[in-house]
Amino acid sequence: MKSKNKVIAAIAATSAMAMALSGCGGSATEGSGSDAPALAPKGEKVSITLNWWGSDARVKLTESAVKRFEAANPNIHVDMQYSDWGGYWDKLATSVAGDNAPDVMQMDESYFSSYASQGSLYDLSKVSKFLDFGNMSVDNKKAGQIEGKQYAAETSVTLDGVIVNMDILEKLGITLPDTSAWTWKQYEDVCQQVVDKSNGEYVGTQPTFGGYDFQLWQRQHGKRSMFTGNKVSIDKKLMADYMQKAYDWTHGKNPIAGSPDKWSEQFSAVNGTLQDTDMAKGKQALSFGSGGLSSQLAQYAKALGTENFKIVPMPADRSASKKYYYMKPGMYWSISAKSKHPAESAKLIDFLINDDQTGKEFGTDRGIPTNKKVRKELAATANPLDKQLFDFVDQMSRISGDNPDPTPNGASGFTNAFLRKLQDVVFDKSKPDKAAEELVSEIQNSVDTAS
Amino acid sequence: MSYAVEFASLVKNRGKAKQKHPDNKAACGFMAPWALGAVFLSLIPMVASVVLSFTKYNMLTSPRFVGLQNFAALFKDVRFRHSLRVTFTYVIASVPLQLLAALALAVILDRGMRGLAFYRSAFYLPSMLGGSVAIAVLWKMVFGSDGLFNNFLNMFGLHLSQSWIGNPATANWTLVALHVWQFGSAMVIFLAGLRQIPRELYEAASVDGAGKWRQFRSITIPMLSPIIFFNLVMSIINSFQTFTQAFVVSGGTGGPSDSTLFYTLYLYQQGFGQLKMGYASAMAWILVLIVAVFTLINFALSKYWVYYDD
Repeated sequence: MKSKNKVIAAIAATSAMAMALSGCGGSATEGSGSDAPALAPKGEKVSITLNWWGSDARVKLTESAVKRFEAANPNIHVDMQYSDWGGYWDKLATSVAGDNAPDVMQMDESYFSSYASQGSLYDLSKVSKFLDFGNMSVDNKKAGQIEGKQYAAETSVTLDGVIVNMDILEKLGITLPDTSAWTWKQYEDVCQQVVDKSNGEYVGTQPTFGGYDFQLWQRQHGKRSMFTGNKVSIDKKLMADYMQKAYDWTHGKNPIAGSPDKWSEQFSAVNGTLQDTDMAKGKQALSFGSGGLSSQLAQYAKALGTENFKIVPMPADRSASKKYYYMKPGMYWSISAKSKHPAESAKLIDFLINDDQTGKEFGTDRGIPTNKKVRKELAATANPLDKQLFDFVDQMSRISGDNPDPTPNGASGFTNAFLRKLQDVVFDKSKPDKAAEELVSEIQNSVDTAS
Repeated sequence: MSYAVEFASLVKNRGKAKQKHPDNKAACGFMAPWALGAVFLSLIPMVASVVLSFTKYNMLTSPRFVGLQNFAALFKDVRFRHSLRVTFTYVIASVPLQLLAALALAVILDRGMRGLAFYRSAFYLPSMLGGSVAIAVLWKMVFGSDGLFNNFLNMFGLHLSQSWIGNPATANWTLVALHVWQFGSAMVIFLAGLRQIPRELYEAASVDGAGKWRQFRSITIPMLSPIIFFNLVMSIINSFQTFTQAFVVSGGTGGPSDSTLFYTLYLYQQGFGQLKMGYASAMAWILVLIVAVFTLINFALSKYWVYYDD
């Protein structure tokens, strides 16, 4: 009996210790508690954490930037953690729940509003002394606000456009029409020529399911945003038309996007290993960037060992709204609301978005930088492919309108739901009208039950 | 079967175990890591998930008590019902197929062929690897449109460009195949069981003129039934919990078109994707209930076909 008590005592002691260990993390809050946090006194060592998602290349770039930041700020130590896209969000949610959220985190549009509206992010206007928004446009600064509060610093924007493999078109003797004002019909014609002239060796394109693509499609038809506050404002008719397009592209004789099976494999490659896509294998002529335009372009160029690509706008019908385009927020930097060192964290973000050397090194890895100075410098020294990218930014900013409303809390699953419904349609399990109807009510329900 | 004997003797002596053992301290020491793990990594999270299943909890703010709302919502959730359908299809197809494969190979290997140790290991290997991410990735390539499986069929003149993974009609069946392929651990247990069947029974039977098939039906199966029962129970429990394969093959979506939306995958999507931890906890407990019911039915039915020789 005695030994049993001892075991229980041992367990109790261990658990007490564990609680003390985790507890002391939360209780030892420093700082004055006032609204304007200050840097730690000189000589005091401060350790902050930085989390991001991304490829190996991004890991190297970020590590090198952080090293220079630490050299410039010898009392600040930065703990770095990174993961892939999927794992990142699991880990972030868990660490927020466990009260050990990273001080500085990379943020995405689809989750931004969820985290901000649940009080997990720090209001950056309190640390404006350390974090300069002066190098980005007012629109870019506003993109980091939810209900008027600055919860994030937008570090980059992404573009949607069509990547064209010119090698294939030249080989098949196909000429592109004037793409600055081409129609969906013309787009489909080019794709059809690719399939017909190559006897099916190449596919023309693939249907996309990205929120960004659809948002643009809807804006071409005069609807500004998929969301209006917490209301899903997807036009069911337009959604059904979009889905019908995906169906038409994958059915009939010599479909321009290949069989449904083919498409089904392609989308998972786009989401997973880009090297497995037909674009990267040089078997597909045209592809939508769907928000990953710059990184996809770089990877296709690397995989095929050629820079013979062209970036052109998404087609639009003659009746399309003039200023339908917008540049989607690429990535943000945010500070955890629970951070013990918001001032130091702000300094780090400032370094990541405003330091010239860092901007030069990062290039377009995180998208097109919002920092105008950095952007100008990059454009001046860019290789031909990147040069095209920056020219494309200029071209598209002329037809850009207001940004749509941010994705509300509870709707971050939109892309997956969209994909699923699109698959139902393409595999003949559902009709576009019904799928669109179900999609809208599913997302609305998810938003309604989220908060 | 010795563990059963041991267990029985323990039960019989449980009142008398008062005398102090000198090894008790050491035993407790050795058990401590397990005990700590069981309490902190299993018991406490389990209790927490019971509590959470009655709350709305998005991990970013504190949980809010909502009573039975999660459970009520579950029964109205179309995708929840769909995930049950997918999972049941998978379990009902893959468990018997896997056990049949395991039993058949165990019987063949038990005939004492040359190089037995090699074959045993070779067949066992997949079940060590089968749950891993690497194999799931491999599977995705094997059953892709340009994959090994289609290349193999091409050799017989079947020119297919079908993607077995990419098509909702076949995607779940590739995962069934993956499960069946991992018959190794069940096979090893069957082999051990076959070795325990007294040879005299077969000799006596053959003297009485029983053929191979009759011997298999009337000696092997009944003598092996406790082992079959054990494998059946474990295999059902395991396949209800299948997650990794579906996650990797579908890229976490359960696609194409929700055809691989296993119960656990949907649970994960709700918990970590939608940040609905309360809902996910409720789902987890319903799964516990389902598995428990299946196991109880198994035990109830076992007295009609499992033969304990004592």
